[in-house]
Amino acid sequence: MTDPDRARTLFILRYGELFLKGGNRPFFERCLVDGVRRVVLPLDGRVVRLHGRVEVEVPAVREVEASERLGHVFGLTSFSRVTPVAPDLDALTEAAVAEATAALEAWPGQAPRTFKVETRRSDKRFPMKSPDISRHLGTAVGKAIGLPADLRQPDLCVEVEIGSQRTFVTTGRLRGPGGLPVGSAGPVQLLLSGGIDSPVAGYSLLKRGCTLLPTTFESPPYTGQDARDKVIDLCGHLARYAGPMRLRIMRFTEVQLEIQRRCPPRMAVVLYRRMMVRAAQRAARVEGALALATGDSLGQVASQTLENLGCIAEVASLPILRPLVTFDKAETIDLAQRIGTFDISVRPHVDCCSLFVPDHPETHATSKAAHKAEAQLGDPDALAQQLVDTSKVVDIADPYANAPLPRD
Amino acid sequence: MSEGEIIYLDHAAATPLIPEAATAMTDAYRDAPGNPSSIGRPGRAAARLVRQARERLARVVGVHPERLLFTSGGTESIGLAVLGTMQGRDGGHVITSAIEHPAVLGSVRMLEQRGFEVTRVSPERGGVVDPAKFAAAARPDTVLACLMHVNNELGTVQPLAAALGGVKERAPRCQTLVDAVQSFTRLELESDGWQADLVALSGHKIGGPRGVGALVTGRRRPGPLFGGGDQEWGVRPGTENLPGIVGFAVAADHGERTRPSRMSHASDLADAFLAALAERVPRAQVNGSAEARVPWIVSVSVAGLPSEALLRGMEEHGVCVSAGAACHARSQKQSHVLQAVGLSPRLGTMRVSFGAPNTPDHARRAAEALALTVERYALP
Repeated sequence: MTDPDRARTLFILRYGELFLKGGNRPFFERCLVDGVRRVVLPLDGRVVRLHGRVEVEVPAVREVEASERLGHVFGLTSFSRVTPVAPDLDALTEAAVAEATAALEAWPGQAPRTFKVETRRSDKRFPMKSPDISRHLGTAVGKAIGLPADLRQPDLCVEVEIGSQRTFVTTGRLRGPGGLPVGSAGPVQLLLSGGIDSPVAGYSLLKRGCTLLPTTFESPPYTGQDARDKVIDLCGHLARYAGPMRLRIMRFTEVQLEIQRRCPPRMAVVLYRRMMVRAAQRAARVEGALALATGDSLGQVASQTLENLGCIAEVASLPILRPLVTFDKAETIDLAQRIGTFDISVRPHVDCCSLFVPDHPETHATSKAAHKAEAQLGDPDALAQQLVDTSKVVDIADPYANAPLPRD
Repeated sequence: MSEGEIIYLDHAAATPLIPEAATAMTDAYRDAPGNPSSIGRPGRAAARLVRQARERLARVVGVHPERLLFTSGGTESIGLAVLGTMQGRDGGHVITSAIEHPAVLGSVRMLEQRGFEVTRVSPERGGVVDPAKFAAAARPDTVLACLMHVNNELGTVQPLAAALGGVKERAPRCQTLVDAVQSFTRLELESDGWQADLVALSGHKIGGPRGVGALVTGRRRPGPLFGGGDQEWGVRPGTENLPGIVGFAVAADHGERTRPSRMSHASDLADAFLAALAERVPRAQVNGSAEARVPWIVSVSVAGLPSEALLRGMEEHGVCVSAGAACHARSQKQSHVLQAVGLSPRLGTMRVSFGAPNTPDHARRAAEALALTVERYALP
């Protein structure tokens, strides 16, 4: 008998797109392994790179937690909890039957009606060919669990893999989050509010391998600590995917009030956004970000017409990434719910983006009109620099940096 | 002022516990571990403390000790009065004002859902209910009339005797409830003069602890809202909150004895605040009619920024006040009281409420903080 305290669970992790990366592949793999290490090492896990795979071993009591965490590592297409076996037909048969029986017992919902065994044999020293192994194991499993085989659309799939380094049997393949490993694409300055969209934009960029430098704007006393906490909590949530981050908080009150006092009300929103982009870009230059990013969606609100997006973007020389540009609001909400930011975003605290919004905002802002209005503000670039100089930085911890108490 | 130190001007929401009450409570925790319902000596000792506290409070209130029911606070006292006295009835007419505390409005709303008819009498613009109007709402089937003594958001004193007396003339069997939570130990409590059958009191507004209050009843006690043992004559079952009850009685007693000096202190503070306000923020508007206002609550409105921003601005300048009432502070909706007196929701409104620890300098600094907040943050 194995000591239950010492029992370990083995996961095999698979990644897809990275194969496309040719000469850069080792770099992408390294980023991926770093991401995996980040989430499993605190669980007393071990990570091993194999050819085209990553193996993770954690204490058996950490299995559920490890599964949950691996679901937050971009670059993984799928992963499975596997039972390692000796590369031997009898051992494989025994393991396949045991795995199938156990899977059937633990099956959630309506019981499966069909099954199949699928074999991959990369170690050609094994004396049987894959279809023959599948047939042999299938007969044994079918007899044991009393289900018919269906090779096209089985409810239960027993996977067998015979490799030169590792041979295993598994029944549960879980989907990974896909995308590219975080860190493989470079840093992006994300303009983050407490709303629904910008955290989803952040998620989308993480998914394509970016690291995030989130920047938020607040207007105390019009906005309060609750609004700031909301943004901090959103960052904390994204940190599950990203690891630790630094949130930059800029005090926008005085700029916002100056715009209110001196500029045409119709132009206010475009002018706020231009100032935010200027300030974010200055922070980006300092921190080495290669692009800015926003949660803009085309036509969703008045500031998001093509004309206004253009008028706002002209103050930036870095590219502005807008991952949600073609998203419907419903699609963004769906994704926000799926990744868990929605419940934080809908907390009812006013943030500075919804303050002082005119009843009839300009939808066709021109560069000329914006410049004319900004002339009332003195030097907008100096104001932007002031926002950066007076900004504060809050460290956002990685929620996966520690292990929770194991569940019994 | 050292960093982080803040001038507390929110005594209408909660007062700090007075040291005498804290000492009495600590003693009770230490010396009376028993359950007042137990037969043994520790139980009898605990029961004696409850009895003494009841007698002490009864002296302050000016009623027989058996007319006092201890509860968990103002809201429960009011709930017990409204729902407990109407137990067994499935209808009738209820009169209340539109500026009552949510505790009254909420419990009355529950009656309404059970089929009672409710008249909510609007106040005049000065924040005082016209007693003739209130009395005129009474009908032969009026079973309950509720009116507060001092409004918690505006500080206006309501004409209880005229309003409730008028109701009793038209509907002699009507039960009358006075919410005296804000006025207790500050103004005289005259339940007979007010023609009040029930009076609700609370501990943490008078220098006592949170989680304790009392309901003054007539000979007829309300029915219980839930079942249990026979504590409080079975009307409010459950083991007594012994230290709370002891602390409450001590605070009430102390408050009663220091009433004149505390009230003249409050007047000095109000005078200092209003004078500084007139000088520093002449555009500010003081809500509630000057003749009806108590000195320890001042409601102030300014144009150009919403209440939440006003409050945070005050805090930035070291002063803690609330918007209307603490109960609304997080809802971002205009309070029903300010709405009822016709205040524009575009104005920012704050309630300054003074207490014993405050000094005239605090009052002046509050006016100064308001001036700075408006200067810095208000929009034209």
